[in-house]
Formats: sequence, C-alpha cells, structure tokens
Amino acid sequence: MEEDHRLVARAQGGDTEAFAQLYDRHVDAIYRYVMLRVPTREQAEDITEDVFLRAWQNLSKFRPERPILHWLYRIAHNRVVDEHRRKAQQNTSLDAMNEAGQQIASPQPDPLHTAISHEEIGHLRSALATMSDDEQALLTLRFIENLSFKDIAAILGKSEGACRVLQHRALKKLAQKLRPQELQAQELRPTPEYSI
Amino acid sequence: MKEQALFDTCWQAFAAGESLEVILERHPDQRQALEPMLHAAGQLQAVRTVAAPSAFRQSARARLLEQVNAVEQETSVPHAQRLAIWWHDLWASVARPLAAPAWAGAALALLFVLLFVTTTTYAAQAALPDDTLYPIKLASEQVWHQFAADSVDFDMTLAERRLQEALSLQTQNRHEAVPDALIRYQQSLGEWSERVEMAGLQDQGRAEQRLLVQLKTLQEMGEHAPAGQLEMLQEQQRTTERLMHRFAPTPDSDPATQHRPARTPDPVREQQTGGQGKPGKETQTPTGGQGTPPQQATPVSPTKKPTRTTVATETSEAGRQTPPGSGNQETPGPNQPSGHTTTPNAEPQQTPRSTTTPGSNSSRHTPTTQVETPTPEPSSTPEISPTAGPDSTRTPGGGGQGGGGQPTSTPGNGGQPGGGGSQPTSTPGSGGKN
Repeated sequence: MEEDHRLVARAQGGDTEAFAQLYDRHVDAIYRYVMLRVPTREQAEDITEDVFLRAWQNLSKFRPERPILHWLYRIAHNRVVDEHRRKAQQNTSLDAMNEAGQQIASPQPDPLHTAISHEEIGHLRSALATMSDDEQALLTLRFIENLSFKDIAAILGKSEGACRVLQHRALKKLAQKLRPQELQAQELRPTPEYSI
Repeated sequence: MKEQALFDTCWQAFAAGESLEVILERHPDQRQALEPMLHAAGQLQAVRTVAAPSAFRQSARARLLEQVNAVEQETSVPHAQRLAIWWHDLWASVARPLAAPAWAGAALALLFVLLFVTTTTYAAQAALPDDTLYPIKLASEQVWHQFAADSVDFDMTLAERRLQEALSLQTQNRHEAVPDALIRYQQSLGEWSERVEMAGLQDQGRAEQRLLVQLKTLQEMGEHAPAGQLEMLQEQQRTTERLMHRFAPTPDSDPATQHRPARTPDPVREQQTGGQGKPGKETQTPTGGQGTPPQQATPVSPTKKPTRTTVATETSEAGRQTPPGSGNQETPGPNQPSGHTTTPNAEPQQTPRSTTTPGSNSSRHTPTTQVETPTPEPSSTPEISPTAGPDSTRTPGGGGQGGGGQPTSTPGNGGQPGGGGSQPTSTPGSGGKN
C-alpha cells in the first residue's frame, strides 16, 4: 500500500514509468473483475486497457487516502455498466458466452488448487450475466478479490449492511443458476490467503 | 439473516481449510440451503487464479504508455502539490520510522484545544454583561465553583464580581445594562446569604467588611446613576446593609475593639455619614457622629459598625493587624447579649484594619486612614463589659465589629477565576477591567 502510494504520487507528478508499474501490479485484478462481466475477451481487454487510460487521465483527481486498486475497481465498474447499457446482453446466447468464456482467460496453474476450467468460467459468466451490475460487482469483489464488506461498500457506494444483504441474495441467485452445472461437485480447497 | 450469518460462518471455516463436506455435516438441517451457496462461492474463488493473458498484458502496456506519453494530462499537478508530494515522500521514507506514536497527533490537538479554552476563558474574565464572552465568564465561574474550597467565600466573591460588572457598565455609560447587572448582584448576594445561613456560620466579620465595600460601591454608583436607576440602587444599598448587619459578628469577640482609643472625629466616618444621605432605621450614623447618648443607641445598632470599621481603601496603616492577644475570637451571635467580654491585653491602640481594597473603586473612594476609633455611639452602650474601656463601645449584639480580629486578606486582584483556579479572597478589586 505504501508503495502504491509512492507510485501514485510519482505518477501524479508525470512519471509514466511509475504509472506503468501500477499497471503491472493491478492489471490482473482489473482483468478478472471485468472478464466475468462481459461476453468476449476482446471486450474484457479493451475495457481493461480503457480503465487504465482513464485512470491516467484522471490521476490528478485521485485522493491518496484510499487504495488505488479500489479506485481502479470503481472505474472498471462504471466502465462495465456503460458497456452493458450500450450492448444488449440478452442477445448473446448462452453457448456464445460459454465459447467466449473458453477464450477469455488463461488460468495459471496453481499447484495447490484445482484450476478452474474454461467451461466453469463460462458457466460463471453466464450466471452472472443474468444478475444486476451491483450483484455482479459484489460477488466478484467479495469472492474473487477477497475484499471486505467495508471496502466493497466504499467502491459501490453502499453501506456495509446493504452489501451483506446483497451478497446473500446474489449468492443464492448464483447458486440457483449454477446448480445444473454442479452435478459433479468438486471438492474445492480455498486459497490459503483468503481472508474475510 | 440467520441463514446469512450461518453462511458467513461456514465460509470462514471453508476459507480456513476445512473441507466442504465436514462443514455441511455440522449443519445437516441447513445443508440443502448452504451447499449450493458454498459451491458457488468456491467457484468464484477459483477465478482468483486467472490472470490477464501475457500477450495482452504486454501489448496493452505498450499501447498505454504510447497514449500516456502522447496525451497531455487534463490537469497538471501544480507545483505546490508536487512539492507537497515530495515532502510527503520524504516524510514517509525518513521520518515515519521515527515518528511519534499515533496518539501524538491527538495529544497535540488536545493541547491546542486546551490552550484555546484557557486563553478564551482568561479573556472572558473581563467580559461584561451583553458581551460575547460573558457566558464563558459565567461558565468558568461555575467550573471554578466546583473546586472552591470555601463555597461561602466564593459566593461572596461572585457577588462582588457582579457588582463590579455593574459599576463597569455604569462607567462605560452602558446604563441600559446596569439594572440587569444589579439584579445579578442581588441574586449572587442572596445565594451567599442562603449559604451562610445553611452553614450556620457565625463569624462573618470579614464578610461584613466586604459588604461594606459593596455598600460603598453602590453609594458611588448612586451618585453617578441616571435618575431612573436611583431607586434601584438605593434599594440595593438597603439590602446590602441589612445583610451586613445581619451577619456581622458581635463586637465583643474582638479584643481590639476594646482597645479603641478615645473617640476622635473620624473624617471618613463623617464623610460616610454625609454621603449616605438617607438616614433610615438601618442607616449608619443616625447621629452623624459624636455625642449620641449611649442610652439612645440601640442594642444592635448597625450604625455603629460602619463608623467603627472604616474600611480603609488606601490606608497608610494598611497591613496592620489586630493587636496581639486578640486570640479570643469568640463571637457571640449577632443577637446575643453583649455580656461577653474580653479582657484587653494591650493598651488601647489604633488597630487599623486593612480590609478589602477595592481596586478600581479606589479612585472613587476617598482615601482614608483607618482609624478604629470608637465612636461616640458605642460609648453609649454601657451594657458592654465595664472592664473594657470606653473603647469597647461596641454595641452589644453584634454591633459594628469590623471583623473580629481577623485581618482581612485582600489580594485585591479580584480573584479572577481565569485560568488559575486560585481561590479568590477578595473583592471586586479588579472588577473594573474594562
């Protein structure tokens, strides 16, 4: 966090290399955040790149007292919402989304955990696509990025209590959507660094 | 809500490394609801292993830098902000390891608050009614009251402060505020009176002197008051006099009174009697001075006291204490017969008593040399012990004893509560901080 702050300060001073380091540090998180919420990889890459470009353009407005990653999440959320408004997701078929899901990510093998398959990613994306933007964002930030309710509330502009309720509702919804795909439940082991 | 809390608990266990099956076996009743949710959450969590494709990362980085270099920042960072950022970095890298604990900032803030409060309270002590800081002054007095060792003395001090405020208002020609100030003075004096009665205090010799000073102040105010306030001032004078007589100790308790030299005309007394103007049954000196037949004096003659206990405002003999041997401080109550006698142990001597010395009022008062001369009137009280000389002409029953043997300490600073919280012992001394 401290290093992030230094990089931000340097980038705010015009240091492009510092900004590039920020990009290297957080591009994966933003990419993950975006990729489950848009139908194609190309859109995910475009949005991810656009998020960082917007961040650079508005870096002088960033207030250092909050984490830069949260600010990037906020930009990404707004960008995805804009994308949803511009394109009709209902026209995207489930198969197309699954296919896109197979192309969208290249999961890095984790020696300790079962790598998620492209098919599973596709299923997740399909299920999330039927949910609201806030529900998508909350599930992504909560269970993928492991943010606390406090941080999520700050990013989404909601109260912690509202986020808790929204999480519960969204997760139940997601569970119902994924149930047909969970005929063979795998025993998933959590990542050791998960923190609630 | 219950299900939500249960899910959170199960999820924490899952995140801690427990297997899903073990967790669900602990909650067989909720298994049907929990299992799909935990599975879904687990799947989401697995996405954490996903990273942006390498090709994309590199290409996007390059494009980003191109655009960043090509596009001007919409708002440039001002030089001052850059300097601030540079300083912040310097502090973060060098000073933070040596920085004070987190509470240092809070302590510093608290210190500033205390300084502000102290300064404001001190400045408020000069405030007069209707001034902006006057409520702060009153509030500080309440706080001070909590720590006052002698509540009776404190109440008297408050009354003196109120009277000084009224005097200051009059001096500043803020006549419209004087009546309210006098009412506050009256209330303060009333509170003092109640507290004295409740405490059953007997010896109020020092209070008598302070009341005398207040009476003088009221008299002077009467000389400069507009016509519409005269009656109020006169009424207040009468009230103050009544209190003065009511709480004055008996003269017999003060051996010094028995050593009074022969009566001599007291120019101060003359002036007082002349200045009072309106003789009443409680006014001083109905006789105006000498020659009053003793028999005519009332047993409890308030008229005696003022003449006897001339309050020296500026006296060359200030500081003289009562003569030694005045250890017998027994002071019968004001209404007690004067049978009590104290054998004087010294020759008659003048025992000037330096009492309270009003500060700003001193200019108004005629400087007087205190002379504890027995007045002619006291001599008219033969019921006092014949062993005492004619000087012991204190009227029985608590005549004009000017404070039985107690030297009045008179700091004269008015005892401002301001920041120190020291116990005031006097007066209105500096009340006229205008």
